[in-house]
Amino acid sequence: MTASVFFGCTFIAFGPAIALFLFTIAREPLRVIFLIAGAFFWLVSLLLASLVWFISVQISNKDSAAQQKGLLVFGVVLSVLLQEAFRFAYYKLLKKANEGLLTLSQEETMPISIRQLAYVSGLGFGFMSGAFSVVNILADSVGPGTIGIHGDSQHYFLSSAFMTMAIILLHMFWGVVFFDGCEKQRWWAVAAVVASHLIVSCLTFQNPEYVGSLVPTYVILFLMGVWAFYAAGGSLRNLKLCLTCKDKDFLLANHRPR
Amino acid sequence: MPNQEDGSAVEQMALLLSCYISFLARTVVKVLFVCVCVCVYFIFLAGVGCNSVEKKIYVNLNYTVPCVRLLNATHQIGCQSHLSGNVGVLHVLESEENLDWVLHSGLTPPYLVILESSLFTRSIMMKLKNGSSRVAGVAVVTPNANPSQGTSPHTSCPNENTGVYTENYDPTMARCNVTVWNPLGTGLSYEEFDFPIFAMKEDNDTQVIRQCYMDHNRAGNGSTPQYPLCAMQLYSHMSAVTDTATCMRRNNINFSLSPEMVCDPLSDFNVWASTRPLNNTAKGHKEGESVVLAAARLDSRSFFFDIAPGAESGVSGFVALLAAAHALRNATQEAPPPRNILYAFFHGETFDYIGSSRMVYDMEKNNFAVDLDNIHSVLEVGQVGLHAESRLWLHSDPVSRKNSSVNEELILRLQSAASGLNVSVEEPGFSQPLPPSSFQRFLRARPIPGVVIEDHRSAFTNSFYESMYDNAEYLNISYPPDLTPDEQLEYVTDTAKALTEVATVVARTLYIQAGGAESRLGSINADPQMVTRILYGFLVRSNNSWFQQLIPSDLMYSYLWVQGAAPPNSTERVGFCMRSAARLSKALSPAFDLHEYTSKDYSTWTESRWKTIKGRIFLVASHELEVNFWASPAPRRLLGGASFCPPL
Repeated sequence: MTASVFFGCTFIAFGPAIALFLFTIAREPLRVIFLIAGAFFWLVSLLLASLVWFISVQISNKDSAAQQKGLLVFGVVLSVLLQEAFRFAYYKLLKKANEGLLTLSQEETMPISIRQLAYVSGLGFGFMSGAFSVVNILADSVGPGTIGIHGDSQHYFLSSAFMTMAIILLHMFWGVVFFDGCEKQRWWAVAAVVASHLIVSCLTFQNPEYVGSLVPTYVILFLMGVWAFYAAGGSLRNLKLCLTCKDKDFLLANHRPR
Repeated sequence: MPNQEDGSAVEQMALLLSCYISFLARTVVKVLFVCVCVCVYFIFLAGVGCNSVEKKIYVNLNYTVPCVRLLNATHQIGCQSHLSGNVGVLHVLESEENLDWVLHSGLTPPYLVILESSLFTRSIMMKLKNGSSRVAGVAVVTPNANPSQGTSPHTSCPNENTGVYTENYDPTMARCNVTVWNPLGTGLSYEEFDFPIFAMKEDNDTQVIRQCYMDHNRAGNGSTPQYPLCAMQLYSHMSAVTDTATCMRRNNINFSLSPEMVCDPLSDFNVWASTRPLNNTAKGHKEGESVVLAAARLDSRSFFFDIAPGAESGVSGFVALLAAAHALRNATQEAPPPRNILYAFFHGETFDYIGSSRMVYDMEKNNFAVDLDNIHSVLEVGQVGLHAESRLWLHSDPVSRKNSSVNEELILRLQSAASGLNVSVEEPGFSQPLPPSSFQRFLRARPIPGVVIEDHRSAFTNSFYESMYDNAEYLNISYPPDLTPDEQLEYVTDTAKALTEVATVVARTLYIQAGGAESRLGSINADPQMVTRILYGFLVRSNNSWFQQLIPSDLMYSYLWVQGAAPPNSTERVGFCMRSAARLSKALSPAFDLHEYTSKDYSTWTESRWKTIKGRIFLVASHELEVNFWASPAPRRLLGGASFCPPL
């Protein structure tokens, strides 16, 4: 439906993520590397999940609609579990790499903290997940037609874009909470991340009732955001200091005069 | 401080990368490689299906017939679309007054107008053409049955510039001054439109379109329809523009490695045969050969591309001539008449006599088996399918007739041939030019006597001339219900019976005109079974059991007519047909099919091309007379003499 829908949905879906990337990650090459590696790990998890899905579809009965729907649910659940498993694998890899890096480098402190790694890897997961969710839909939105000739809802493109934005931000928050839980051995936090990921993915089965899927997703997004904020060491006090530009550490790190 | 940080960051990056590589090499890459291989294998196994989002957005139309662009020396006609298709909001036109919505008051131009065939008239199309900034295209829904009122998209005076009636020949008869041959002609086929016009059948797709229009685009009670609206996109971009000279010039541009053609000349083949065989390799005038030319037309057209049933305008004529040739098969073998009969079926006559003009040109340039001087007379079979009251009309050219008595003889022979049959032949009774016919091209070259047989006295009785409705239904070819295709093939319809009468008249006339004996006339009769089968094959279904018997097949054998040997007491070779199971098989090195030009297994020999190969001899002058601009380093002194070039 022409370029306006295409650009609008692209910016809705990727806007916040690109803004975060530009302002916090783009200047630090180390963070960029970890972001891309994170995206790569998500891609591998998708590859495995799609392999299993493909084989199971081939051996299933293609005519039975109930079986296909069941297969779809199975595929979604498997994909979520695999993504979280790869997140854990990435966490383990990063811990090992960080130890090795520390012994090799000449400085005393690590060049990148595990919290930054959590944020960056979560965003990497989010970027790749968002790309796979929405790029096909964006490609079709460029043509002259819009959805609806068979009676589907008009808001397909827009709700896909909003869902993608939520998923990207959610991956980022999940990354932070997950790594924090693994660091502090709080396995219930890890389980909560997996559970909320499952809930959000299964909410999409409500589509085309877009209200039913988008509103709970955004509620979960907000809650996870608050949790991630506290897990990353934030509090109301340093939020106030940051917003009124009085946080000394923050200012020094970014060379801004008071 | 920024520099130090950047420097150390780069070092760290390098260290980290080396760490990563070692880790990756150990674990992930191996897993990934296996995964990728397996996935790619499965993807190739299953193939890639259509994108499901695209299926939600677009509905592809299955049966669409466009109108295409044709060009000639001065004009371009037909339709054009943008390179990326024309998109327009659907509007189903209810009446001519409803056009106001499309052209003026509609709020969401451009519109793509859906027309019923009854509204596909010249006035509506001209109005749409003039308002073409608001019109994205037109789709015409063709009904399953012919309309009751006749309409022809052709011009009212077909081929008026390329016949024999020019200002020089006879100004009173040029440009249809005497008779307008196609009075129902609207000339739509010869207009230029800058939007695409497609034809659709009345089927499921059309129902979907109408339903989509009702659901989304219908303005209810004066309110404007809200977006999203139902729209259609039509692709029919034409590469050629302006006129034939421009597009032929563009065809010949050699800049790129693979030059693109933008247009092709309209061309096909004429079919000709003669009762006594003619030596086709000896071209030009044949001494003592006097030929009666029996001509008919093969082609027709309509507004849309590739729909050209032409039942009355073309098929009726050539079927009658084919049946006449079949009827003469015995008489011409047992009692061959003195003159030869040349049957000629011309192609491309609709477009300014392509076929007949080419044959006349070949005859004039001595590039054909006979010459124009060899032609004794011409008998052309025109539109003969609709003869009400069983009357046929014999048209002849009044200008050339004044000087010839052969014409009178021909007409008398036609009338005597028709006696005793159910058909009556008459002349129009007043001085009228010839209707559009291939004979006109022969008259342009020589004043040859000839007659054109038609079923109309002056203007055409064909009310669907060169239209898509000129089909079997228009000729009243109908079969009883519940017949299998093979039974339909053999069933003799009334139309076939009527055409058989015409064919018998033509056959008998040709026989006497060629000088045959009148006594044999009674035995010359066309076969109604043959006529009905040909009509079925060309108008109803061409894939039938009889046509399949006639098409060549080379499944097991190939067939050759060989010259044979001369028997001992004669010098004439006796030919025979040889069936051979011997075949040819290609002998090209596999290296060239495999594109392995450095192959060690197969031959890779090639031969160069060359431009000219020749030699010549001449005299050369002495070196002293050569003027050297360049100082020659090598000593080029002449022996013992002074040289003009200073030694270096």
